[in-house]
Amino acid sequence: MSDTSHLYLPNLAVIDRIVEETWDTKTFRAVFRDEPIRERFNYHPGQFQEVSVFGVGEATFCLTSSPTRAGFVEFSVKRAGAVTSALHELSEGETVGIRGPYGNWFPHEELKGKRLVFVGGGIGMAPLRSLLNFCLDRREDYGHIDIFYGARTPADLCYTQEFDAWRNAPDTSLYLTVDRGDDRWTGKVGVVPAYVREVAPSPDNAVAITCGPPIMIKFTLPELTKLGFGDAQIMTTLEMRMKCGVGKCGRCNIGHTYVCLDGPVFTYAQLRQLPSEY
Amino acid sequence: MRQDDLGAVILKKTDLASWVRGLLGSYRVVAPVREGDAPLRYRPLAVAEAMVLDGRRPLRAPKEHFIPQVEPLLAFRGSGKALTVQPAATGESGTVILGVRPCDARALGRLDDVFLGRKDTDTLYEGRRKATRLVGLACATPSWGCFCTSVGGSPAGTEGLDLLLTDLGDRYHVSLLSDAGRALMADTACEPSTESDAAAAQAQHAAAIDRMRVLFEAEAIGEKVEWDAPVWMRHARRCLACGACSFLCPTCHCFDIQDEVTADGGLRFRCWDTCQFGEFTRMAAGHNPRPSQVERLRQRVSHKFKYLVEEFGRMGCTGCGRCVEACPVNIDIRSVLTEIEGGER
Amino acid sequence: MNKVETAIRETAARLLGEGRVALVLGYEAGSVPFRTVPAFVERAADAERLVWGPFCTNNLAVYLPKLRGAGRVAIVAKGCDARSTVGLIQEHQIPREQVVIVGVHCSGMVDVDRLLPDGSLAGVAIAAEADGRLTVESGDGRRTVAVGDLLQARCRVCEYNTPPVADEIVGDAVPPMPEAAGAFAVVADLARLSAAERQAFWRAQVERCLRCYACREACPACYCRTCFVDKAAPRWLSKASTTDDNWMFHAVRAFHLAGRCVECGECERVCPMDIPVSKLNRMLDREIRERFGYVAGLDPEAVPPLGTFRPEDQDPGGHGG
Repeated sequence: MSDTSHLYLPNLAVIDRIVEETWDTKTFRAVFRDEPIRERFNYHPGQFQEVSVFGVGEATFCLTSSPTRAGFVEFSVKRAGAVTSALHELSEGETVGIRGPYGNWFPHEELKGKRLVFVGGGIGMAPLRSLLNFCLDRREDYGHIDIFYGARTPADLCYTQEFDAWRNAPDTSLYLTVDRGDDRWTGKVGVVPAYVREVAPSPDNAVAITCGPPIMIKFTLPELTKLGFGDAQIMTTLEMRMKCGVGKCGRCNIGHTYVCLDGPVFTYAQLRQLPSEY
Repeated sequence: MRQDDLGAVILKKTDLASWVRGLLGSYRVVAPVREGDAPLRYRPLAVAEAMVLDGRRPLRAPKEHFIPQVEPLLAFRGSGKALTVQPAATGESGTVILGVRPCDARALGRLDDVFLGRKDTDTLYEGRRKATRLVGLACATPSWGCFCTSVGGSPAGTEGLDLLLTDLGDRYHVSLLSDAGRALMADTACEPSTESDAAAAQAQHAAAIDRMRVLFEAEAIGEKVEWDAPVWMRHARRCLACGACSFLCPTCHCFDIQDEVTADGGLRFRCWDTCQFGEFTRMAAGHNPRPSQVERLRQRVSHKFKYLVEEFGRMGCTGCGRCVEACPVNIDIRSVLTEIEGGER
Repeated sequence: MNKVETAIRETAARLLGEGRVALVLGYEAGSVPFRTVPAFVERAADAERLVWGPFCTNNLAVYLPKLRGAGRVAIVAKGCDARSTVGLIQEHQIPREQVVIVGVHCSGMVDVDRLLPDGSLAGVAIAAEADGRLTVESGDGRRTVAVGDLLQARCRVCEYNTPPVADEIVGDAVPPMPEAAGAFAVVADLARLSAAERQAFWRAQVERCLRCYACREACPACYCRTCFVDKAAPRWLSKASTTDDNWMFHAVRAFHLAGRCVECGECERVCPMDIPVSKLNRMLDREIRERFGYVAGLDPEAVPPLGTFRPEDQDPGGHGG
């Protein structure tokens, strides 16, 4: 009989670690059950996967782990609907389906030698973390790194256990901020775009990579532009409702561009060419 | 319309049933049938006599034999370490679809662009496509929504067909369009077509073409599609956001993937979906880039007449007219396109 | 042009010109002679677009919930449309003060499928005669037909062709529809079947359902922002078009409509697969009439029976075959 594999067939993966980032966000580490797949599996920062809970459904999640750290994949899940809630109910040792990696990726080859400015908000930090750890693992390949990361409150910050590794990395600065502090927060209070304006990273030989809630993006872009970043120097990763991940189901198009094939990573120069649908 | 390089034969209507019975011996044969009060639908034939070839093109396209309304993708059983997954089969038994209208055959080529052409091959679709032969039927009378000649098609078009039948009253003129088509006629008693047969067929084709006006120049319309134009609101305001147009459309292919739970496990399937439904692009957190029918109508028309042209050089519409006839509120894509071509009304 | 059409245009122009309404919902010419389309008229000068005739089949009340808060709306309403509007008012989907019901006496709408049963409607021309007949010119020649002979089934048995609630009424009074007394005769044959036979009948009908939801979207009483079929958590039924799930969709929708459906029949007209959807609603409505003596859409102050409880309500008890 002919080969029974097809585009929509997931690989099985076992959840081997769950980190509760915030009250509604968890990061899952998964290991593929089949050894050949575990060995072979490779991806680039910026790509995404279709993760499924059998019996509930599939949903799209960016890879938040870096491919420099082999043997597992990580994805962060904000509880919002049926599939994300079902994922939140899982314990370590349970099995999920994973299809991927899909999409394009952050052009890390072209970023070599450049200064990098990461600007993340809330769970928007998830895809940025993949590129960030990738660059930190190959530190000599990249110039100075600024990391701006903010959330509504300290309890909404993700990846807190990595902050020390980030701020202590060579030639790397971490700028954390929250919209509203709490009793124990001694750090900066204010929105991310304002912090970017204050620190004023230089655009010379630099690329800004941003991801976060629409309101943060909306106010961050003008700040970066005012600092002198051109549209081709600002990169983002788009969130769209996706289903098949392989350009067949017709759901994720903006004009003739399919976010699952030509994205999700785009520069602002590219986004300006697209219909203003998004 | 292509030259019938492989020639043509004549199949007498009195021999039609026995020809079909011969096909039934080796193939799964699908043809328009009438079941009770239901409209004509392409269904597997149990007996040759059930086939209905008269009349206008059926309202339900044969696309469901290539992308079914519901298609299992995989089955799963057990849980945890014992969880197993079995993929759905990709093979398909040999099938012949009879009575395919030229607009529908052409439409399959548009589905090929997406499922076979765009990046990875969808092997589930490919298996069905490879296993299926298409026997066309030229249209003598257009249905009221038809406009194939306005989008580069023809009621006697041969694109995508293995055979094309033209009804000459007591017999069919059968154009042989491929080796597979010729093979389908090989074991049948039929005479070669004569010059007068060919002339009669061509006359019928010409008459059918004459019955339709070319309404607009579809090749150029893509460039005239504008993002912020009143045409969208004018037509979309009354749109009810149902899926009638998309589900009947022979080139529409959008789908959703869902899971279903059964007593001992479950299955994952894909099913038809449409950009006309409000939920289609809505994200879990609530943001929807296409929040109203205005954006959704713009997407539908732009996708078919602009975006697909930019991607493949071919329109995603073959003028079958089903959307026109099925729309509960008479949103007529011909009117929309005429307005776009002519600029402001 | 006909007197009723003129009167509708004058009424619309007056209501808009006086600033009494911001929008008139009516009918205007469609892309072919045998279709009209819902019209949204906002200026008095555009009232000329409005038409009236035997092809004004759409139930315009379906647009009212979306127009809530958008200024006062006048709706050109046949009896069925007026009853749907009353239903929406009952259920607080649009305030009474926001709607001006322009009632129209109706003698029924043409069933387009019966216009030329054997011929093609392509290129057809239709002229209305003064005596209520239509002249239809097609590729097969010319014929004159009486509208009364071509009516949709739902119109033949309509009990409320005179709008029961209206702020203004247009047109001369018309006699009741000839088969109005037999409004439930169309389901009598089904009622005589056993439950198993009925189940088999309906399963055979819904097997071809595409789940396009044209029936739901055309229905003014189906205004839920998230329909039960679209809920993922909990997942009530599958999106897949299997007979089981199709039947679940239609049966549950019929139950949601019980006591609220006005039998406008639009659900059945718009179904691309010719599923007799309205028949299912009518079957349940028969139950509602028998048990509660209630007719939907007559009294803006009333509450549909399945939305309330009275101690004297009939106990459904067990069900026979």
